[in-house]
Amino acid sequence: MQHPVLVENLRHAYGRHKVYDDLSLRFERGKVYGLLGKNGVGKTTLIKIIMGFLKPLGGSCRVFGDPAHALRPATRERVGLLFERHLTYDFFTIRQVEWFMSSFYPRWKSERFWALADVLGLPPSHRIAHMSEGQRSQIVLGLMLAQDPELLILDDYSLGLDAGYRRLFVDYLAEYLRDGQHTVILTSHVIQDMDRFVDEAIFLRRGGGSLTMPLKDFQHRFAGWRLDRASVNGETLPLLERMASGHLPPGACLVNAESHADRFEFFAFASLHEVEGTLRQAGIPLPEGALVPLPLNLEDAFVGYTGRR
Amino acid sequence: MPHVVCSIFYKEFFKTRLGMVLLLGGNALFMGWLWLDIRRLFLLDHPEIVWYRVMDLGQIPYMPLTFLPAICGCIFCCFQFLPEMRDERLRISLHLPCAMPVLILSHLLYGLTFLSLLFALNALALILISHAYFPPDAVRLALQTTAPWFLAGLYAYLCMTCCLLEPRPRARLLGLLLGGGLCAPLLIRTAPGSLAPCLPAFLLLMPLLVIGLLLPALHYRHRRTE
Repeated sequence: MQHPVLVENLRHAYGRHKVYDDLSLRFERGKVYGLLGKNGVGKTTLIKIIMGFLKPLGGSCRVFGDPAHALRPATRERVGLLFERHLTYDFFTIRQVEWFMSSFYPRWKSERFWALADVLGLPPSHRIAHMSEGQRSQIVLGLMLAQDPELLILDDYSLGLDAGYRRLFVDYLAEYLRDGQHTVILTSHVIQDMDRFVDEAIFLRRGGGSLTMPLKDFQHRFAGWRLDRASVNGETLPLLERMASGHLPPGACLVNAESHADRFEFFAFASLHEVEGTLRQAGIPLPEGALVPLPLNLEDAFVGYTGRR
Repeated sequence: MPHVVCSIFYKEFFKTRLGMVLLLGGNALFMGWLWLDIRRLFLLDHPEIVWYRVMDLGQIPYMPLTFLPAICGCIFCCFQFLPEMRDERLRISLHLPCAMPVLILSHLLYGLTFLSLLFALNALALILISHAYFPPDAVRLALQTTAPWFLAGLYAYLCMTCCLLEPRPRARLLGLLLGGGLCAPLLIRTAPGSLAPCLPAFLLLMPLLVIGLLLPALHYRHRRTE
């Protein structure tokens, strides 16, 4: 079966700064993908490449079989884009923008647009330029859903939205995706929201590495532990600091270690027993019960996985 | 395809209506001032003297009109394309399900249509003014003299568009030079009406430039590849 988006051996750089060297990703139909990663790992670049507004230096990115940067109009009809900051034609009124967009899409579902626009309680003659960011986000989402796209690409949909509008946006989107027929690729600065509707998390790492896994699996398997400074031998502190600065023991199950004023934190896709074993093997004698499990919400886990710096 | 053109014209109308009103009003004021200025010539001097200056010495009373079309072309281009370039809004249009050449050419067609109408109104006003004070020969001469200026206005619009759409600084500079190179010969001070025979040759370049503007749009779409 054809993948809605297929990224193969993608290579891109800005001057000498390499973003990806050999990135390959498969996006399957009916799933919601959250692109995660720290600033500068290439989330926006990947979104731009998939959106077709940046031609990669090498490899390929295909959307419904077409090169992403050269989509045929018929393919573009199947793709809904939401640009950062909810860009739209702000010189139009609500009614005008709906008329304009509907003239391009044969499968236009007017009722979907008006269902969202009506929530705002604004007259159809209201100019988009005079709307708040939150109100505009509803209009943009309405325009996108009315297109009835099979693939939705949302570039940081949460930017500029307060908690109420963010929730409204996510709830409408989740409702739309309930039939399981649509593929979504999204980025957001608000990780917690992803918990509500993202199926697969794609973690991008600096230099082009990536990890794709079901979000539920990530939340289930990824764990963190704290180790109080007071509970370890003072001689081992330099070793722990070295681990926290990124020098994890080779082949260890640890993904990340962080240093705090009063404690160290360790993160891994492993059990307590395995982490204890790893630390002991690295020369850190651990008293019984020194490693205390950390309660992790999605954002904690994300930070734990990618690191704070 | 016609519905794409209609929809783009609809969008462009709402986007540029303030600019259109300002340009129409500004041009109307300018032509009004030109009429008063020419009328003043006849109040200050005998008509024979004014006619002699215009018909025999080749002095043209509508000289201040020279750069107006080029300035209008640049201003209208800003009204049309700056809102598209702000926050890269052009991406919304480029994602619409229609062929990119049709989309870009529709935008250009809108701009060229409005400017042609604006310049046609200016030419009409000039005909009326000239007809009121000068013999038919002078009216014909006025049209032959100002036609290159109006054409320069269209070229200024196209080259300004190239500069705004083009993401690469070097190519933008090239667009600027091209604009200068195309407009300068049309705006240069020569004997009244002397450029009229060259106009067909200059007009032939217009379709080439219009089609050439697809290239900056393509660069815009695939930008940051160099």
